[in-house]
Amino acid sequence: MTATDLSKLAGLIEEGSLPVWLREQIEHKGEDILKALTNARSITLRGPQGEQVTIAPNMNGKNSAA
Amino acid sequence: MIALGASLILALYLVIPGLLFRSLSRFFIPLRIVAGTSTQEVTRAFLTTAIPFSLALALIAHMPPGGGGTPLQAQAAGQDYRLVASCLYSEQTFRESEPAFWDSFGRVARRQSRFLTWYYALVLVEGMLVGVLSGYYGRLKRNRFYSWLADKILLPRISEWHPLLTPFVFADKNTIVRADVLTTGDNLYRGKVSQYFLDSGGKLSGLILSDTLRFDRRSYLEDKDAGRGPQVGVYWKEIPGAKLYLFADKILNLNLNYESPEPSVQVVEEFLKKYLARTIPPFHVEFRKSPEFERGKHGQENGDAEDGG
Repeated sequence: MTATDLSKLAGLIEEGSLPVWLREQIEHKGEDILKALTNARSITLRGPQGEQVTIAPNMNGKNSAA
Repeated sequence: MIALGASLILALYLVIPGLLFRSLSRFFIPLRIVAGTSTQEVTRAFLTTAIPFSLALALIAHMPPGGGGTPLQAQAAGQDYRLVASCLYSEQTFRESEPAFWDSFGRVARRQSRFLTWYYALVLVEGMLVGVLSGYYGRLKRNRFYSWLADKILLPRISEWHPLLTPFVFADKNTIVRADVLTTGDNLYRGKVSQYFLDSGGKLSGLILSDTLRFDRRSYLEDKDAGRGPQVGVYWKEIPGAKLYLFADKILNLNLNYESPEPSVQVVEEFLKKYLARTIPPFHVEFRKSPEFERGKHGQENGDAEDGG
């Protein structure tokens, strides 16, 4: 492994590393999520153990991860 | 004689410290064993030991006993080193001044053992520090300086299997590594990676899967041929037994998935953008842990969704 490979490999591994329930819900409810965000509404996805992921529109017009 | 002296110096000041460093840092992080040329090995050992060597020199120079001596003592020490070097170089000089050589050699050996004690101790501290810092990769990798340090200094020789088969790159160490393994016998297994093994060259020699399922390919193909419209999910059968050991030479390919109990907000956002694959209004993601997770329980059932105002 060369010096730069670890950070590249880490990025690759982390990409799409979601819990199964969240991945499935995003895949099933992609249109609902898009619709909610377009209408400036939030949408909450609930996991099997009561964990919650809330996807909410940003009023300042910027993505938090950007 | 001079060759013997040079070999001894190389072993005491480069090879042994290099081995000490590697053995301690490998205790925290498995390193890939790369057989380099002698020059590469010496360069690697030199880079590893440069800091502890300089620190040990500074410590010896300023700490008693022996440190901070008078100019006269320093001069005497210099004479000792010169005599030892001359006697090592020339057998004739050695014969002419043998009694003086052994006196000087004794003093040089005492000074050098003091130095080597500090030097080896500092190499061990450096090895431990590198190991501990490497262990924080998952938490600190987004820091630019740490990322550079990890790539260039801390982990350039980490075995690629460690980040691939453990939650090493994740801040959340409860992340599950799940593997679909296709073997040379045309069997497909699915399970959590519990443990992996490397051979002396750093290559994968085997891995242990837990909660393992085997894909019943024969029944699936029979049902498919009979036009029964088989659902893939029902052909995954549980394998009795807690752990399944797979020999690496029987593995054709590995499909790895990483399931973090607490997904990173950035990963969710990136997945959403990639999955929806169109312009979406700016958004942010908030994660709230489950009460069960806080108590250390995990599950894999599916959940549901609701709209909020």
